[in-house]
Amino acid sequence: MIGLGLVATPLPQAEAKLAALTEPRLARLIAEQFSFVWRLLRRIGVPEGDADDAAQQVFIAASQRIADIRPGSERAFLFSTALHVGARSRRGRARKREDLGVDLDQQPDSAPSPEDLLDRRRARAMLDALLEEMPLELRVVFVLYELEQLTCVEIAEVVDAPLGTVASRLRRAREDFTARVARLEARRNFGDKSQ
Amino acid sequence: MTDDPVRLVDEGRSMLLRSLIFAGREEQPEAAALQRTLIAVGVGAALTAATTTTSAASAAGTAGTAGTAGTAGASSVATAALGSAHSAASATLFAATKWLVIGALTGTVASTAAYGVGAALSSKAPIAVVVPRQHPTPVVAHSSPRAAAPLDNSAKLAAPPAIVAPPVLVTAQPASGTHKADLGLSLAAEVAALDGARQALGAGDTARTLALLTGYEARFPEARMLPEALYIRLDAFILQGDKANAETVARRILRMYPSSPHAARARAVLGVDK
Repeated sequence: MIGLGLVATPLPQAEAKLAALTEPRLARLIAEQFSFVWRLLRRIGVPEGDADDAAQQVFIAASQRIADIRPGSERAFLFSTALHVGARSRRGRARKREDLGVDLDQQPDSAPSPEDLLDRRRARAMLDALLEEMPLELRVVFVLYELEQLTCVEIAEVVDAPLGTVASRLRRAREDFTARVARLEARRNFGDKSQ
Repeated sequence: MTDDPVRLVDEGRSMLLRSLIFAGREEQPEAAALQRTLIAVGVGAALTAATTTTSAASAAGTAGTAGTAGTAGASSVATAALGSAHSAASATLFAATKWLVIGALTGTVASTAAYGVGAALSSKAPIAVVVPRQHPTPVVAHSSPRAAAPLDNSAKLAAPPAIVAPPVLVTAQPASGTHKADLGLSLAAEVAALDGARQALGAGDTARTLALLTGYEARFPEARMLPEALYIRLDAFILQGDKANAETVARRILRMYPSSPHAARARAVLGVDK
């Protein structure tokens, strides 16, 4: 029997835990979607050091509105809330932009070597720098499709946009991203040859 | 099915492009971040308690009213994390599973690895359980209920309070080696083993990743995390550029888990639509 006799917890605490267990939907939501929300925040520009707090804000919002969130639309709610939390984080970040990470235009030699590719942290910094150059509406679709591996139908539901719009954004985002990566590789090759 | 394009990593694109995307896919928050959020919204302690008591309740072989509620709550969450094929991406699924097992178990035995948890829970001696103290005031009280509305006014969200209260020492009765406890511990061990493989993959050490996965399958012949193991193996071969082995793994995924969240990726690797 929970908490009563099996765990030497004072009764009020056991009661609180029992009460919390009456909200399995919220616990389930957090368990299922925390990693998704956290990574989404990271890819839309929230620094690693701020991502934990930002993700927590998203789920606090969800906990406050859980009764209003229609079953099946949880991820759409989390997505839209994460966008706003992320936007606020970026605004704060813009104020101290000099402290930010990689800026490809300012660092023409930043193309990674094969050895660098094994450094996931550096690769993520590079990824974020590339994504940062992309308009947000394209970026989120790209992230949801290529990184989170949602289908276009799922993305349309999450971002609340027509499927055709999602497909169009995805196409443009992929073209943008691959072109940037190609430029980065060309830069690296040029650097190799010039040595 | 839709006419979704083949994902870039499956198009045989450059090593750089694939590495960038894999790096993004593999990034995971720390387990403590999930724990803090669970606590912040008031369900963290419940998970910890439920996990602790589930095995004990099983030992007693009883399901009283409160016990049923607790066990059901824990089970529903665990099941959601373990089996929600439709709503969670594979990485999310893995992370949630890992956290619920490792997080909840290590939440009960602080700073103990999964294997250590096994030893602790199978002990006859009472278990010292550390449960994070709940914030005295519900976190949600920091902002008005309306402040959480998405899109229109989420900027009003209150900054999350720091969850830094010291832990409370709670004593649990011995679990006496129950079947459910064994299952939980076995799963925790599986998760820990896969975590090592995932970390190796994250570090780009595909050879070590594959070696760890081979060891995992040998050690757990009835592995419950096999779909995830196959998924990691698939990514390792892809990262190696080993198309033949990647396709072999993809076919195995489709054969064994045709409706799993990983099946779509396996199909993409094989170049089949459905």
